[in-house]
Amino acid sequence: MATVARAPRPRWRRPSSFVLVVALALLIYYMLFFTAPFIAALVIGFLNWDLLSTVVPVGFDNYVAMADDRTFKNALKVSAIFVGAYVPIALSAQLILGAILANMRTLPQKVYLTLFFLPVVTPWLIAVLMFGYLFNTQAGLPGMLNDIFSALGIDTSFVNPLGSKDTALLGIMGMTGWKFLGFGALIFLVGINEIPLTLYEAARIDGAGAVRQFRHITWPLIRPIMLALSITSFIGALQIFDPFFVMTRGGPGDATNVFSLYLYRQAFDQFRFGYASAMAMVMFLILLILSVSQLAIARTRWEY
Amino acid sequence: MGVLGDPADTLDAAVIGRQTSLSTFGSRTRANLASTIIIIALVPLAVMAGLPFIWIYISSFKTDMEIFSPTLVWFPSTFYYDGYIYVWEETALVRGYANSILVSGASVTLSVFTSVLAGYLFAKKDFWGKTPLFIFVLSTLMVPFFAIFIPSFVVYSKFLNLKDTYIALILPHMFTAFGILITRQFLHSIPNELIDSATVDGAGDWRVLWHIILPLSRSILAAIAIIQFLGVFNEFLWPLVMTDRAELYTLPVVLRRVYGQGSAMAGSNRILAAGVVAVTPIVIFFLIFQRQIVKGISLTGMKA
Repeated sequence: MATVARAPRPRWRRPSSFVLVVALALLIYYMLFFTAPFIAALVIGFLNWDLLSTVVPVGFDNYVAMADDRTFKNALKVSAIFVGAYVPIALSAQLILGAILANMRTLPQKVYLTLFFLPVVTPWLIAVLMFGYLFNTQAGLPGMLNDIFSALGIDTSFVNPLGSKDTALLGIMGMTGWKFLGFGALIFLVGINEIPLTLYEAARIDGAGAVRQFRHITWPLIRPIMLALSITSFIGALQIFDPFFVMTRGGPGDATNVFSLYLYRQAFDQFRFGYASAMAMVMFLILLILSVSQLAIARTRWEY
Repeated sequence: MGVLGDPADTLDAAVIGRQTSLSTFGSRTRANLASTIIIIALVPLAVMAGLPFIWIYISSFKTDMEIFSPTLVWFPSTFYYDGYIYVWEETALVRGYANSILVSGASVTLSVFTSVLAGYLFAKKDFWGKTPLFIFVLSTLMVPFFAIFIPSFVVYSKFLNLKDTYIALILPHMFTAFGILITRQFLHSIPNELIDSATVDGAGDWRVLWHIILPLSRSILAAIAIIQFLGVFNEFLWPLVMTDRAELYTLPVVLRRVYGQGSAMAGSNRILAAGVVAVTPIVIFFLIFQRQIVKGISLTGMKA
């Protein structure tokens, strides 16, 4: 706040009671419930603490321990695969669906939007319950597919994706895609609708086909939306916790033991609150770097 | 027209479809055919979106024998509703629902109220330290939940002694930086003259807020309420660590209990019934408020 005091501002006036009350409430609330916990997390990261016995300061030991922790490195890898594969695929699918919906007549657009939006409003835990069953080999989708294919004379043996190390992460990825497809599509749909139709008409008179129109009009104009969605998707995807915690419990083996789940377990199963806090700081740094670098790339590459 | 399902063609057709409604260029029948093809091409995707819902509705009336029969049973042979009786009599699902609605409702009410207060403060008031305070509030949007999760848990459970209280579930949502940002942006568009004339007439800040700002910002506040409600209702990890007493479990925490009992084959019918009971109010709620929900998210989604 010191910077403001130095700046040449209009004479200081006694703030009204409204300003005083609201500004102070904001300041106190965010200090107490954001700034303080954040600083605390930073501090706890340098401690050994199980919440019960005495606190032992350990310096950077928690951070050093991460480098030797094979489960942590695996969690980092699993999360990187999950986020790295999910975000680009999901955003592409959302964009394509949004573009298709934007060009539909009102009625079918409404019907489809309703259907694709239902998963968005469905809480994770209900989705978990539904997919836990839908993924079942005998009673769910694999059984259905096997049934349908055998009726066509093809022998298939689809099984529960969550049962195998190779496909478990893919299963959760599919579920996540299902849950957020409608959300992203809606955001893109709104963005595309804001593009003036005259641009497309002009392009068409110049003889540009639909694909070229998309590439040269739609795409450049929705880039800012793509950037915003991309940043929020990375932040959201890295923090997905519920399906890993309830459905796969990190397994089979450590195949779905993602960063967020491992962090939770270190704190609440192993009572290593210091170690978990240090991990939280690493997660914060990763997300910060991801966000800032995306903004930087957007600024240098997309200037036109 | 090309092969159905080819993404480039779909996109091509999509753009044509959009323009026929507004221009007379090109062949109408061709475009109509194209948009019909798109509408049909999306059906399988829509089926995938709806399948998890449809499948638990159907399967909740199957007996456990039918559910885990070695060959898939598509439809139940009898109308078996024991699962529903079990859910009603033996689980805390209804209580969980009530808790979730209470917590989400209180959070929404509080955060909408504080959003309009703070939004008005930042949009229309001038005071010492305004910009730094606004940047400070905004910066909390950059902090991922996991970064403050562990210290928050420590503060709420050890220092504030709020474990197993509704306050612990509501307090983190009392202010929303996102809501403040959106309201501020919206209130910027309200002309100052409107406020000034009221002030000249002797109205104080609170009266201006109540009689002018609140009625004008109804739509944006509704949008914030919807997004906030969906977020709090979906929340799982925080209520999980904050509640030990079953009377305080929110719906996701109850569902996790129910799901956890289902690893054995017996009781699957009950889990599915629980899923149906949990999801049905959400589906109904969504269908009733669909327009507002979609509008709310498209109003605010991109500004995040």
